[in-house]
Amino acid sequence: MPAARYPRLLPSTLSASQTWLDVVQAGSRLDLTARGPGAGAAIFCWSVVDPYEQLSDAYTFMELRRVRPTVGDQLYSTLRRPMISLERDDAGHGIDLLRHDYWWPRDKCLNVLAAEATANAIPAPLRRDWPYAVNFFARTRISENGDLIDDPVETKEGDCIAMRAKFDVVVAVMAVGTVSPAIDILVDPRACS
Amino acid sequence: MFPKIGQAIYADDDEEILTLMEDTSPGPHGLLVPPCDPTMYRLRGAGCAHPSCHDNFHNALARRGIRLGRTPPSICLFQNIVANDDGAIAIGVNASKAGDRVTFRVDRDLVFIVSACPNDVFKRPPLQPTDLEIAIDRTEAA
Repeated sequence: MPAARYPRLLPSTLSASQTWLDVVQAGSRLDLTARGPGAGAAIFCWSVVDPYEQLSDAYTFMELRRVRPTVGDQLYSTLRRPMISLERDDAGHGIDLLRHDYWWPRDKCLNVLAAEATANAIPAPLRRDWPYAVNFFARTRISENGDLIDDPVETKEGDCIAMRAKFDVVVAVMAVGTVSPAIDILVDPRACS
Repeated sequence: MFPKIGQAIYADDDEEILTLMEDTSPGPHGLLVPPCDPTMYRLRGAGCAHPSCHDNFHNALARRGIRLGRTPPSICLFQNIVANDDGAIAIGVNASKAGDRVTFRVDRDLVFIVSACPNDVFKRPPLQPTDLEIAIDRTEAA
């Protein structure tokens, strides 16, 4: 089977546990829209030019000094470079940087996404070197003694989180939760510089 | 966010790799904080040549003939980091003092790398690199 043409730029809809992986060019806007209550998504991201410059929960956490980015914030790479800016978050504090895999075991998640990257000849790090996911539509919070508490997801149908790529990146998404369909993904390249 | 006595530290494959057995320090110890790196020192005006935990890690691996494309998460021992329930964090002056000790049990064969943090750039809070003593007790090893 021939490899799909990338970037695809067409809307995609994922059910829970389905994946999406594509090149998102600098300046493009990427919208993730929940299709039902409780939908969520694990997001991975790295530079097209250097798959080892990766979206970093830890560096973003340190730059922002908080674990839940908000609209107007930037998410940083492992080289402390702004990688993605957040332009919309209907869910409100719907992103967490807490490096958990409550939703989907990391190992299974990476097996599926790494296979998709290989099948479509998309630049990707070695399997062992994949970054950690940033969790979208997540409601994890930190208790007084530092424990992570996985609050019920409050996402509603139609809630959208929009972000813009600061340079050419690969974005990998795994839809999580129990609703199907779970997430709509739309890449809008019109704002590309 | 902060390991407690008896709790395990997990590897990427969800298997236990270390268990925190004893901690005489006031803690806490940060699990999400990245190691200092050349970019941080460059951005803070200290230049790329400033020693860093990132470079110490990769240099230590290189001496063993190991090369990694990324820097895995580190445990920042004695890092005084506080998180409140709205997700904001604050980094305070480390409360550790000479003689404080953290003891781990090693739960599987591993490469253990320690970098005594060379960060002397930030003045608020005042940071001062200090020596660390490391001891391995093999008496209970299988």
